[in-house]
Amino acid sequence: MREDRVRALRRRRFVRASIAWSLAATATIAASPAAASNVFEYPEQGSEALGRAGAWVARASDPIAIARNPAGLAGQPARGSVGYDLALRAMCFTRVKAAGDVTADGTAPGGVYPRVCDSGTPIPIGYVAVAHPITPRLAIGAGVVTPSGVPRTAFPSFASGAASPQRYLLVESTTLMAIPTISAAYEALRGLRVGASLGWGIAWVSSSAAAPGVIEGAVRPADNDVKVRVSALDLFVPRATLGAHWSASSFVELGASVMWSDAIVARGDAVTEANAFTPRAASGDTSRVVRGDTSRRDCGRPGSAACGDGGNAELTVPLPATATVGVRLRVPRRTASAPRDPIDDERFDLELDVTWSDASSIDRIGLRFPGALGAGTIPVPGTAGNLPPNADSPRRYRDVVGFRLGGDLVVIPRRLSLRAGAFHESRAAVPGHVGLEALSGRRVGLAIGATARFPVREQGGAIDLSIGYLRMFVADVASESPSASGVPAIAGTAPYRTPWPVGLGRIEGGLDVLHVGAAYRF
Amino acid sequence: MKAGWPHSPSTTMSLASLPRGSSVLVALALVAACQASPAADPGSVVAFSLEAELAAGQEAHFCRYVRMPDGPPDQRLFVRGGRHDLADGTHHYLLYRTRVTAWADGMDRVVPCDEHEAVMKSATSYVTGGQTPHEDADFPAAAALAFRPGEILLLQGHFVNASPRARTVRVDLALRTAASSAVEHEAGVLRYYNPFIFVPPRGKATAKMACTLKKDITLLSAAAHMHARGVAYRAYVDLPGAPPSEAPFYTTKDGLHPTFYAGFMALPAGSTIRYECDYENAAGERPVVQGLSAEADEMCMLSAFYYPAMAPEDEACEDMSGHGTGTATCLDTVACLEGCPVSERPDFSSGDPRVGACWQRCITSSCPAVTGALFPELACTAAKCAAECAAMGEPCRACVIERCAAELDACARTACAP
Repeated sequence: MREDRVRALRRRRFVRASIAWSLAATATIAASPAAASNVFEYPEQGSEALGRAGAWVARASDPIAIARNPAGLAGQPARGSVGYDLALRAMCFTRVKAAGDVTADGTAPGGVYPRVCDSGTPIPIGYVAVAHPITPRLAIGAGVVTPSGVPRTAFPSFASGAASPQRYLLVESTTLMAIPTISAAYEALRGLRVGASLGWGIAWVSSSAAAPGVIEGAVRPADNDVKVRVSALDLFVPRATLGAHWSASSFVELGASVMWSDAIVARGDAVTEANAFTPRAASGDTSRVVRGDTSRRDCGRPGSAACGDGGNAELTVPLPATATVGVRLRVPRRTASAPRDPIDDERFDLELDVTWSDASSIDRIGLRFPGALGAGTIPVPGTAGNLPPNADSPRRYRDVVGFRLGGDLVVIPRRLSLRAGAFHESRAAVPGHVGLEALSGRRVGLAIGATARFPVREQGGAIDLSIGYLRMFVADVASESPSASGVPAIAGTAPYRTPWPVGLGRIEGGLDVLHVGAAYRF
Repeated sequence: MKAGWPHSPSTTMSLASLPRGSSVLVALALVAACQASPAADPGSVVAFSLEAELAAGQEAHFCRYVRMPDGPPDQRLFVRGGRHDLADGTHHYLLYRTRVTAWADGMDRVVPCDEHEAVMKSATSYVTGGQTPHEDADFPAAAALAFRPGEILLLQGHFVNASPRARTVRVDLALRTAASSAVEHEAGVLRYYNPFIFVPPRGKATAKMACTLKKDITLLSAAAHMHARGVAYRAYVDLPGAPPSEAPFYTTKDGLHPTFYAGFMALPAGSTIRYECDYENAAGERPVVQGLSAEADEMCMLSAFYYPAMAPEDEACEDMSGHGTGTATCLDTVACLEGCPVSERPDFSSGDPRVGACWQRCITSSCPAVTGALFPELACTAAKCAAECAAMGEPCRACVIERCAAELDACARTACAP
């Protein structure tokens, strides 16, 4: 089915393939192409960076600098690096039923639903990057990087035999993003380097959630709720990173970077399932489930032609800009030399970074169903309703300020470096006004890592093998007053939003990240 | 369903068997032509159409018989949704069940069919209809309407050609079928038709009607139907033992293009559905009453899909009540009716919706409590004193006093609120 959709879209829009997406796809982008303090990410990608809790902008001594601080490419030796993270996220949600919520689900307004947790299968995410010095002062870099996020989330569809309480926010989502990136850096003045990167992001999102068909009192979810899965692809998410790196002295280096990314604006389609939250469906009998598919000309409703050639869903996920500044104190093993290579050159270092992220720009997870033949015309088979032309789900985040402290200790010169770090980031979430797309409470992280170097040539060639571990503690995001405001559910009939919030309650979470990496210095 | 599916009063007891709806709302264009009924194919589309030529300025009803696909006699065919497309000049269409059980050559031809035409005598209750140009919806909750394999239906269109030229009018209806294994609930259609409307010249009036449910149901939709003088519509639910609701669950202010109610309203047996239609006849020189003409008459209807399906007589509300908007007592109303021409007396049991203007004025002038007691008395009269009451007079009165004493006593004891 997905192949059919992709073919249909390609026919229409050349390169843009389409995928299925669902209605209430409000949720989800598990990862985004950013760096410091992005609410969708943890700090931070790269063998050295992760083991230092992200305190790395003033070090920038690995090819992954193409994504974090491209200025750091200048002066690096020719090197290629690759790394993989396995992020294990724990996220649980205990929903409180809003005072005005009249859904007939057996829970009284103000009552507490069963706690549900993410059980998504971890998906490793990785990067590959190379740095190539053209001259001692000019370098270029290239690679494919990914966001340091959690690609897959899977909450249950049912809890205790009933429709799961978080279903209006999220059921399942998978977000995959790759960002081919090119960079250049130049040492404009002695010790002062500037650099820039351009990325061409490709993002694929598949997300499902539930939407009530009608907004009426005393309606049972089993009768009324529709499950919607939206899958969408954006083949061009432009991104730019500017960086600066200054070796102020043999003992002090400063770094700064700013990253901007366009929003993900992905085109795809939706698969709808009416009667998917009935007791019968909970028992595994899906014979009464009525499916729709906006990639099919008839939308899954025989006799209709409302869906045209597909490509009926447009998903928008704003990606916040980020900025990082840092100062690094280093104790050199010898007088600084080119190329910069801290494991060879330094005894230890300590870096302090300050980060900022424009998380307040995430004011919605956008979802539109313009339809092939005009707005508001895409039917949901098995119901009397249509997909809402505007299914945007509002969000409220606050800008995030973070501090990172990390350093390396070269315990065996030119052979082994150990590192550790810690970070703190302010809470991004406005409680009640966020979904389950991110760990957005106040964050504290501890990280450790190590790199072992194995020389392979007399003239400096070496293989580096790295490991890292990050533990991120996330404070609960709680809005437990039944009378509080918050994120509504997207509904199938006008005005397409429930008058009551569905995100009240407590979101708990934490994250463990395992990292392995390798680099080869030419 | 969003698109209303029309209402048509079917039959039953005396007063209760109301008119076969005439005008109405929804819109479905149906199916195919139907000579040879194809085999049932659950999960497919059954299409019917109705096309006619209309002269300039002409208003007319046209019908054709259509037929559901064949199948094993013991295996019903389920329809889980449908689509209709109405060409310009279509006021509404209705799809009726019929008493016809055998298909004959030529039955699929289009014929005139207002309520007095012979073909309409075969119609029983409508199952869907509409008046919006396009509508496309499925029943929620895996509900579906059940049909017999090969069931013969009547597709009726009400057309008005206001243009100065002849035009072709057309109704297209597509019904989506579903396998029985995909059906959770058998749906039905409430068809409430208020036969009593009286709007004085240059005046305003409200028509009211109430119906009490005999079984538990879940209401899926509700749709109003009025004609051009309809300015407001309200529908209420009074739960058993609860005081009358003051908050309508459904309102619309556009008689010609009403909005619809869609939801899942669980109504226990004993619940009463009340609905009211407001009319303005500011420019009229004569009274406007209930009737079939979209131009000259008015209607006040409520059509609603629900599940599980009830008996046809319950869907048509044979025990209707609550029509009065005046102050006349039950006996005053009987006296008022006695003054009406015998020729205006309704014959609801035949399915004929016609009621004389005098009758409509008398009924609407009664107080709200009257018709609940009056209609049983009139039903008794029709059943036990038909001969004596062929003409009004002493023999009729004597018969009623003798044979319908209990009903007459109940009528006399019915009090009107001060």
